[in-house]
Amino acid sequence: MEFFRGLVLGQYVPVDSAIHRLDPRTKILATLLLLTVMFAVREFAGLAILTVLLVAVALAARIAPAYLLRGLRPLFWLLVFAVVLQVFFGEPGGHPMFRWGPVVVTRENLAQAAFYGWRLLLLVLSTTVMTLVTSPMEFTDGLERLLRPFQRVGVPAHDLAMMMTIALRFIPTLLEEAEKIMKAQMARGAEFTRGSLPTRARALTPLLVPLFVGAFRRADALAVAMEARCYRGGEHRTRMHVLRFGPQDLVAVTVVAAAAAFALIPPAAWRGH
Amino acid sequence: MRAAPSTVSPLITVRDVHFVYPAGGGVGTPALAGLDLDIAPGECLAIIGGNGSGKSTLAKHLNALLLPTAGEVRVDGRDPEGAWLARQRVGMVFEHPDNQIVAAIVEEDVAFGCENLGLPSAEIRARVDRALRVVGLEQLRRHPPHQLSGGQKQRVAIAGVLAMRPRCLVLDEATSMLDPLGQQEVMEIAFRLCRDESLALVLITHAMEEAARADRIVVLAQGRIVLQGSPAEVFAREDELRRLRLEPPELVRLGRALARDGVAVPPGALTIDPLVEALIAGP
Ligand SMILES: Nc1ncnc2c1ncn2[C@@H]1O[C@H](COP(=O)(O)OP(=O)(O)OP(=O)(O)O)[C@@H](O)[C@H]1O
Ligand SMILES: [Mg+2]
Repeated sequence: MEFFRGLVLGQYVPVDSAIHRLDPRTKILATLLLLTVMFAVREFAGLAILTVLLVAVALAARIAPAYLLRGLRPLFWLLVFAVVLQVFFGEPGGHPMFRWGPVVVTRENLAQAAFYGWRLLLLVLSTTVMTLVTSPMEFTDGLERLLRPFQRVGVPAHDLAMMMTIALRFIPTLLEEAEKIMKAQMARGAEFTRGSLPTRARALTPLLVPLFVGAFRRADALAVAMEARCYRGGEHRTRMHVLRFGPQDLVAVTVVAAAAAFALIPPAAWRGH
Repeated sequence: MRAAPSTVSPLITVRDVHFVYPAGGGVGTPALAGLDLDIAPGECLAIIGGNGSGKSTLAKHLNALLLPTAGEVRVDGRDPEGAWLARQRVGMVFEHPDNQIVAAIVEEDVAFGCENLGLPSAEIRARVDRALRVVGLEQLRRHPPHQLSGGQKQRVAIAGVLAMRPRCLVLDEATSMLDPLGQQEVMEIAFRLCRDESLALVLITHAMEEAARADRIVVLAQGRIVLQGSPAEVFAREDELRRLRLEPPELVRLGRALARDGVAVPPGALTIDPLVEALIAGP
C-alpha cells in the first residue's frame, strides 16, 4: 500500500528552496520545454548542456541524490534493454570494434546506444525533478491556470482540476479502506497472496466490490456536501491562493529557454565561430 | 416557545412543507407531511425522532438542497429561489467526517466555500485564518485531512461553514461517528458559537444528552412535528417518547426514579447538580 501511495501521490519533498518557490506554471512549462528539446537534440553536446542544467536545478532545490536515484530505479531494466538492443541490433555497416560470433559491434552503434540511453535517463530525470519540487496540489493549480485559455475551445480545465483535487484527497482514504476490507476478508480466510494468477484475480472480487460500492456512496455524499457549500462549477469561483508569476519565474524561464536553445545548436555551428 | 419571541422575526420559516422523494415508478411515501417550523436568529434548536422520521430531509430543506414538493421555506424572509442565498446563510455539517472534506489540505478545504462565493483572495485568507482559530485548528492548517481524528475532521467542516459567515449552522448527526472525546470537542464548539456569535444552531441528533442542552426540542415522526417544547417539557412526556422509540436522557430517568422513591427532585431537572442537591437534602 505504501508503494501505491508513493506512485500516485508523487514523491514531493517539502523543502524551502528557490526552485520549490517557483510558480507551478513555470515548472510545468519548463519541464515541457526540456522534454521537447530532449527529443529534438541530435548531438552529445546538447545532452551535456541539458544534463548540466538538470544537475544545477537539482542542486539548487537541495534534492538528495538518493531521491533522484530512487526515481530512476524502476527504469533500470528498460535502460539496459534499450542500450543492449541498440548495441547489438543497430544499423548495419560502420566501423566494427569487435565481433562475437555473428554479432558485430560497431562504433556507430555503440555511440547511438550511449546517446539513447543518456536521453532516456534525462527524460526520466527531468520529470522526477519536477515531481520532487512541485506538490500535487500546486501542480493541479498550475495545470488549471495553464489550461484555462483553452476552456473556450472545450477543454474542461476547472473540472479536470477539481477531479484531480478530489482524487488527491480521497486516494489515501480509499487505500485505508482497501486495507481494512482486505484484513476483514483475510480474517474470514480469504487469500490475496497465494495461488495462480486467475485464483488471485478472483480473490480480489470480494475486495473490489465493497470498495467500489463504498466509493460511489462517498461520491454521492461529497456531491451533496459540495453543493451545500455553494459549489456550482468553475464559473465565478475565486481562489485563496493566487498564483504569481514573479521576477524569479522570469529568470527561471529565461535560463531554461537559453539552455534549450544552446542544446539545439549543432556543434558544427560552434566551431564555425 | 420561549426561544422564539414574537418580537424577533424568524431566521427561517418552514410553512406546511410536504416532500416526497421521487420514487422509481409509483409515488413514494411522503418524507415530510405538512411541517411548520420557525427558527429564530441565534436560538439553539434540537430535532429528534426515530430513524426515517424525516430529520435529514427537513435539514436539506433549510438550505435548499431539497425543494419542497408543496409548501414553502424562507430563509431571512426571502424565498431562496436560486438556493444561493440559503446555502450561504445556512451551513451544514453532515454525519460522515470523511465524505464532506474536498481538498487535500485542511486550510484549502476551509477556503472551499468562500472560493465558491467568489470572494477576493485576501478576504478568503482572513476568513479562513479566523475560522481555523475559532475551531482551534491553526496548528493543523497545512495537514492532509486523512491524518486527522474524526473530531478534528468535523471541526474542519465547521470551520469551512463558518468562513462563509452563515446565520445558522445545521449539524445532522455530526457527532454520531465520533468517539466520546470527539463528540465533546464538536459539541462544545457548536454551543460556543451559538452563545458567543449568535449563530442559530440546529442540532439533529440521536443523543438525548446533546438535545437536552438545546433551548428547544422538536420531535419528528413520519414527517410531522409530534411534540415540541423546552427539553424539560419534552422529556417529561416519557410515554409519548417511548411510543416514538425515543427515550429521555439517563439523568432525567434517574431523576424520575428518585422522585418515585420520594426524593424531592425539582421537576425538569436536566443536569446532575439539582439531583445531587435533592439527594443531599434527603427525602
Ligand atoms: N434519497 C432518498 N430516496 C428515497 N427515499 C429517501 C431518501 N432519503 C430518505 N428517504 C426516505 O425518507 C424518509 C425520511 O428519511 P430521513 O433520512 O429524512 O430520516 P431521518 O430522520 O434523517 O433518519 P435517520 O435517523 O436514520 O437519519 C425515510 O422513510 C427514508 O426512507
Ligand atoms: Mg438522517
